[in-house]
Amino acid sequence: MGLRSLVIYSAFLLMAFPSPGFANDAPAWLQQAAALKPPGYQKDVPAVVLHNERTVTVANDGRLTTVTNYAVRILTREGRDYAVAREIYLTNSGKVRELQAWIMRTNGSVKKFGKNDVIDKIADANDIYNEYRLKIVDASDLADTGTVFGYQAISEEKPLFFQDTWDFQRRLPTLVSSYRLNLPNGWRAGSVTFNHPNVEPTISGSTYHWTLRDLKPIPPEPASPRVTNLAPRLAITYFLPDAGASANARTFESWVQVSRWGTELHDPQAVPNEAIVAKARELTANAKTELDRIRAIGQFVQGLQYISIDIGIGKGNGYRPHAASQVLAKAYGDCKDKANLMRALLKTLDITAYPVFIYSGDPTLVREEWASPTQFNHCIIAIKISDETKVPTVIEHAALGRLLIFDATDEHTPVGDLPDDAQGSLALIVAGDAGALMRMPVLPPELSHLERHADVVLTPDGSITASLTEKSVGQSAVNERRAFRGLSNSEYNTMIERWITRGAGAAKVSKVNPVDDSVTGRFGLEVDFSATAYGQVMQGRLLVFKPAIVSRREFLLLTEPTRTHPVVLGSSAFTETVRVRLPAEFEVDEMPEALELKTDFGSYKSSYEVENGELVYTRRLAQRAGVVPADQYQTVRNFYSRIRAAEQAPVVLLRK
Amino acid sequence: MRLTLFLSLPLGLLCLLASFPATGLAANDWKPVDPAHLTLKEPVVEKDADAEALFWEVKVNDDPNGDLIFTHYLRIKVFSERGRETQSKIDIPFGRLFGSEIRIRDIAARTIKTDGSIVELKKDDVLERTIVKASGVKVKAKSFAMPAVEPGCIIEYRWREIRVNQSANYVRLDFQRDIPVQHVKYFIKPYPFEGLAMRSLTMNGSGEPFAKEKGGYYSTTMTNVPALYQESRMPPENEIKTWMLIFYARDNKSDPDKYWSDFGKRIYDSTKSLLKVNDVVRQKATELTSGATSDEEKVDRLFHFCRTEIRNVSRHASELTTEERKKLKENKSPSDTLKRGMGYAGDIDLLFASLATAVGFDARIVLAPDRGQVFFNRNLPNAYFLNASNIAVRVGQDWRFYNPGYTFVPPGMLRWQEEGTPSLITDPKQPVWVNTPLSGHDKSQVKRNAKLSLTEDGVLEGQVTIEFTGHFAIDRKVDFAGDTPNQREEDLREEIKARMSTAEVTDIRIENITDSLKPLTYSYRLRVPGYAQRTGKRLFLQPALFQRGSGPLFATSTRKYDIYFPYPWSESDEVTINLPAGYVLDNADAPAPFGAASISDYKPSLRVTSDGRMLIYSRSFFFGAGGNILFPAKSYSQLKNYFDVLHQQDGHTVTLKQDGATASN
Repeated sequence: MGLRSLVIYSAFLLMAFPSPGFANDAPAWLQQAAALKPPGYQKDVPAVVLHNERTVTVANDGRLTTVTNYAVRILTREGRDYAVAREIYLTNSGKVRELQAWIMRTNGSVKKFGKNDVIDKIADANDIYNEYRLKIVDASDLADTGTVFGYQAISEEKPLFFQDTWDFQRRLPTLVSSYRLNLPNGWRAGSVTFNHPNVEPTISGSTYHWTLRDLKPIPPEPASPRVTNLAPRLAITYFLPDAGASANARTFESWVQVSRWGTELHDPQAVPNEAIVAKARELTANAKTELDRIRAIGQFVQGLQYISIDIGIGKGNGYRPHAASQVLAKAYGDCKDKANLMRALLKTLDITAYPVFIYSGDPTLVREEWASPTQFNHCIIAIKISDETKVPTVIEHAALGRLLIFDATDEHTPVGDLPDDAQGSLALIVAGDAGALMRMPVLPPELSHLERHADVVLTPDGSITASLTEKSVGQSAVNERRAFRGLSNSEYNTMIERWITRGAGAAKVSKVNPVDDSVTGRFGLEVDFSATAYGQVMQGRLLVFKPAIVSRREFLLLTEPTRTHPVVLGSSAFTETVRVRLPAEFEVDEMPEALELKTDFGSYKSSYEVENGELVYTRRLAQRAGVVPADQYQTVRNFYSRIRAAEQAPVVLLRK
Repeated sequence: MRLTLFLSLPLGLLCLLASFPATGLAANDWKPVDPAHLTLKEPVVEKDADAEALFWEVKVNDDPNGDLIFTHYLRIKVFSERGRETQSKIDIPFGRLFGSEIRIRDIAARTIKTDGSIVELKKDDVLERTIVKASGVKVKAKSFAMPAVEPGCIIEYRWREIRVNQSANYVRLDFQRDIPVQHVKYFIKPYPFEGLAMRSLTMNGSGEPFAKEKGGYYSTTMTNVPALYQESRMPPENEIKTWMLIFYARDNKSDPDKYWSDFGKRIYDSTKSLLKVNDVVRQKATELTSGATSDEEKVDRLFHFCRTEIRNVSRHASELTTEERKKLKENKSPSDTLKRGMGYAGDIDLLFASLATAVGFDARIVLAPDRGQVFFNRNLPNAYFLNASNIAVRVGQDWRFYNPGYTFVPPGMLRWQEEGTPSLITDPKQPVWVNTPLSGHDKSQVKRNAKLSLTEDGVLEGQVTIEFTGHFAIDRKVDFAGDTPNQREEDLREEIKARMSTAEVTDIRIENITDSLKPLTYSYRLRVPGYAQRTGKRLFLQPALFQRGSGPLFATSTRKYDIYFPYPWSESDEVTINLPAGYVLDNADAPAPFGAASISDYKPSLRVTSDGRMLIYSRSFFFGAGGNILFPAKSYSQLKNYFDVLHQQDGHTVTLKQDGATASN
């Protein structure tokens, strides 16, 4: 039984608990919140947050007590899912002292949820070990439309940093959202606001209070920026007085400070031992150039199994890698372990490398104006290279020189390429005093390219036999490689068959030959197939078929007529040439019109030609990474809908 | 009072418990490693396997001291990185699971590299995690990652699992894993029951007969067991997977007929009090059937009453008010159910039987298997596979089957899982097996209608209605039960957009979701830009709107397992399309009808109104007539071909040409 099954099973167990009995009145803050009258929203808005307040009190020794008061009114049945209290904590450095919740029904009755209703569960069951846990009160079963759900959580924590973030809002509309910070005398705080004009705190003594009101809902849209880049967020840093107080947590005022701190954590762990020296020598025995050496080491480290075991996160171990020697011996580790082992291996070859802190999942999330390690969730590596090494993933650091950026964790992305979600992101080069927040390279579409050739023979009855050859590079190849390596052979073949039969129903696939070159990062695929009645014969005189036989692997689907948020596009390019040998008995009567589109974010060109009894159909799409503002949505939508329509267009043959 | 399983643990629960990764001996020493295994380059059982278990041994000790002790030992050869990824992270759940306390002891693991060197798992590397805890429930796991694993390595691990105060009676033993296994061996030490012996049933496989071993154990072995795969439209996993049921019984060679006869009598005796008729029930039954002119009408009235007037809390529990929830007491008799006006599904079934009995019908509890779980074989004399699920009422000379407690099943039908299966009608003297009827394809129908207009730029727009009956309706109504109206609408939009990405779906109405008697209906307004493709002088139009964008039913060329359709079904479509001004039909070709003996038939038709302005397309299709819903894997290519042809015919395109265009002629 997998852990997933176990967690689901546990959920069933817990559902069987008796529902809470009648209880006391709701607290005053909740009653006040419930009395608020939200404006009318569109019918698909599931709930409205009436009150969301966090109060953080910092003791002289730096310990925090956090009180969260939250109230939400359920507006639709879907909104029931929001009647859940969740409080995260770290087992070794924090605790949830109290979690209480209430349901206030429309008839005025109140139910209280107490200690016996709290579920305490692991935050991520997939990790071998994870100290993050959640305390949960789930009232969704009882939260009918119109009810107000509220909770209060009181947590205590010994923080690692004197920094915090506050999401004024997620997707739900929010009437009042506030963050209150009670500092010991003499301490001070500063803040930065993201996705919103700066929110100034009201300050009374050493108490700071930030508030926003009447925030509108943020509905989900395809290819949209993440909600963390749309909803107002606050980043707070607080500082000890220059003298007098002491505390163990850290405060950062600049990225260099973060870099120094990261260096302290990483450098001692990257000390090579004999095994590392021997492994580096073995791996690079046949390497002739600096790039060869980096590739050999990088490929080895990427090939180690990803397993995350973080013990002592509250003491900074979430940022401190395991010793490189230990990671090599166990042959597994997480992102920082891999980056660190790679540094150690390179060090034995006199190649200097630095850890790079980055956020994986959204290249636009990290903001320069707030120096904090909490902005990152991933660790990659920057390798100092000489001028002889020429790859596209190089940045120029004023003091450190040319740095090759590489993700030692993503086993599908080789040296010279970067994962999509790292490209263009701000990331911290962790290099002591020389550390700096820098923009990661963005690769042009032609370096993430899939090129397809199809040779097709069309017979008079509409049947086809076809041979496809695909070659991809960069992140296009990564997508192919991920599918190929993630599936068993039979599963992969099945996936290819499904892809082919989506375009040519009833196709019989006779050959699937993938070629994965993990050193250069190229991926090749050869597929042969045949399909009866692909073209349709009409009245014995017309033969109609679509030359775009198989679909592209990815397609942006923007069908909604209007748009609220920008469209986020990745970088990719696709070209296809289809040669169709036409049956001798037929000649071309009608061909679709060629299409050429050029925009700031991409271009498309298709063409049709007949030469020597062959129809040659080409299509070429290039999409540049970027963010298209919502007011240009129609341009993007039209771009893709015109492509989609053009690729459905048939060729008409007429019997001679 | 709930009419539930009379038997032991539910099948699914047993599957879950027994599907822990498993292994063998508890001795301190590891088994010697065969040098040939170190150098093994290719899997033995299945050539493409990423990893293969060299052996998998489990000792099961039904300890006389009261616990059931499993000792697991598994040795795996890793052939690829994918094999490493899938096999080298181990989680062993324990704690209070399924009402039983499970303890884990003596975990040991090691990796054997291709050069024979060994990396032991350190004790500290076994991490104990509390997955969830609340109000006395605590589910934990022992987790570890195998050290230094790379393709070519052998990994092995073992542990003891103690199921506190449990017995091996009706324990399920799996012989198949997610990877192939060269050698599976179970050692079982039965509890020394007086007069009872350990018995076994092997499903979908054949192992060696049990052999006597040292220390009171008996062993059975299977070799070269392939991995378990998933395929679309495959029979239930219990019909595919190799597994064994262990139980204790007096007689290993009992005559099935006698076994079932005794069992049916026993169940009758033990349940007859549940159908008790008292004055309240009799009075109600008389009142309900007053004026009915036939036995059929009487039974229908009773069914209708139970279905519509007794609140079924099995289905609607989440909608109960606080006050109603408080009233949920156990109904101890049909009379209680009647008085309270609410009950669980089983209560309602029993009330129905009691009411029928009260007005003179012979009504019985029926024990039926679930063919969504397993295909029942009554020659296997074991009640493990039966559930008390329906009520049989003798009307005239025939037994008729009813399930008023299952909200969405209309009278005359059962859940598809219980249709077309042998069912045991309990009786004090002579229980009988009767096959429940399998509803014909006409009972489960989707009837679709579209009235549309096409513009000259290829936009198709109009009104659509869809009606589902029978099992189609039941399945959808069950799915809908937990959904909100917005979710239902969104699901429908997604379903349509998955086929036609440009479709705009508005004015959605979904009706009769909670009405078991009426068909489930959808109606909506549809607009599909780019539905027809336009060239210079023609428009190409696929009339089969409801099949547009659907892939072929079977996409893969090979098949491992049999093909199984849960029930016969039929489809009936009518699509009318007003043609755009300036265009006329160029070709009058219609897709061709075809069929497969009496199992299936496809009849399309295409015509144009006399004024040439409207295209009328109709399509009828059925499948599974004669109860043909299970096909052997060897007939896959024929079946695939049949559905491929259907897919091609559904893709038939007609050409509209511009009025007066001559070029193509």
